[in-house]
Amino acid sequence: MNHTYIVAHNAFTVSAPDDLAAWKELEPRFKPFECRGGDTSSLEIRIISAPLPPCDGESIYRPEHDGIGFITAQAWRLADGSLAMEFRHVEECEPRVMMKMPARLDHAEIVIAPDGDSNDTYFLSHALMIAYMLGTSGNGTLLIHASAVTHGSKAYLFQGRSGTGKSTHASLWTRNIDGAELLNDDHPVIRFTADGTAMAYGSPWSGKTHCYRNVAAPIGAFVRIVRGKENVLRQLPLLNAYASLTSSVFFVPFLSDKLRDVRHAVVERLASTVPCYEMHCRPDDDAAITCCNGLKR
Amino acid sequence: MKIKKGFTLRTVMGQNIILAEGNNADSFGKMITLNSSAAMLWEKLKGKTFDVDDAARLLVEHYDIDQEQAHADASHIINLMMDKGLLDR
Repeated sequence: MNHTYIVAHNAFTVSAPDDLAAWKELEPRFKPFECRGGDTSSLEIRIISAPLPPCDGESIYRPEHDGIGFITAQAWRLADGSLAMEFRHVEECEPRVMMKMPARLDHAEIVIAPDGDSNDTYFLSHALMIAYMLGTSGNGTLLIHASAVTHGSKAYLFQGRSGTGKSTHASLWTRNIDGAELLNDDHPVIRFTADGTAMAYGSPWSGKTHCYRNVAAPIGAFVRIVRGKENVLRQLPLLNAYASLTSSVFFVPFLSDKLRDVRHAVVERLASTVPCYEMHCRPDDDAAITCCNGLKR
Repeated sequence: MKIKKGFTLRTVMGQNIILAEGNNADSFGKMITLNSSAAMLWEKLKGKTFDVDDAARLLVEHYDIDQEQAHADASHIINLMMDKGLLDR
């Protein structure tokens, strides 16, 4: 079946066999973004189930060590210029999912090895996220590792490395602050509108929290969450804001120089137009209240 | 020695900065600002194997300073970059 989805005004098409378990599980996450109109898709993604073809090209990315989270990815540049990536579990030797994109980055083929594995959904979701990121990065679209809430027509994005408590902080907002709602809990999308407003969009990638909302809001602030003994919010100077954003924007190490330049320009523009903060906090109700009051001041 | 892979020199808000790019890379808080001569050396030396003499030669070519001064400046810049973990020996 063919489906067309629009995430942050980027239309893409996904085709997959109807009986593919991993896509069956993911499809409801994409459903809120489905469009039935005749939008022209700029990215076509085809998912198939087949034994993984060998990747014999120039190795362009190899993790230096296992154990970054749950997933290990390797990348190659093939003779025809296309990009190939393999995903496997950290503990496991056999790759489960392979993705291939031509140098134009307007098409992706994702191959899932037969005999379904319980991690396939995770790998497929990750492969789809990378395909979306690569396919849209030329127009300045960014995915950011953050938990996002909306409040009073604005979006607030909480950044931080895994385990620092950004999801916890977001849930403290929704519990303690009237009108605060979760927008996305892992990878919202950021894009500037034609009139120069930085917007946050919900996406089909929300980590462990099932929050796949087709909602957009202008970004009110970025807040880097740091564990602390007291709840203190401080605004970051411009350069630190840039560094904070750069380290949270989803990134693949083999991005071309041209796409790196686009990414840099968007991050610099974000840092100079949206206030960025650092919030040292405890995981308590007062943290959300202190943060919210500080941002509205 | 050589400049390590994974670091990019960028002009951000009018300043020359070095930052590792990555997904929540350990880079946050490790941003390094370079002055114009260090930035020039970075641009000219990236991807190459070099020593203090090569860096000093570049400083002499670009700035109106003598050999002795250039050598002292080059060692100073290289030591700082080494301390910050930007170079491989």
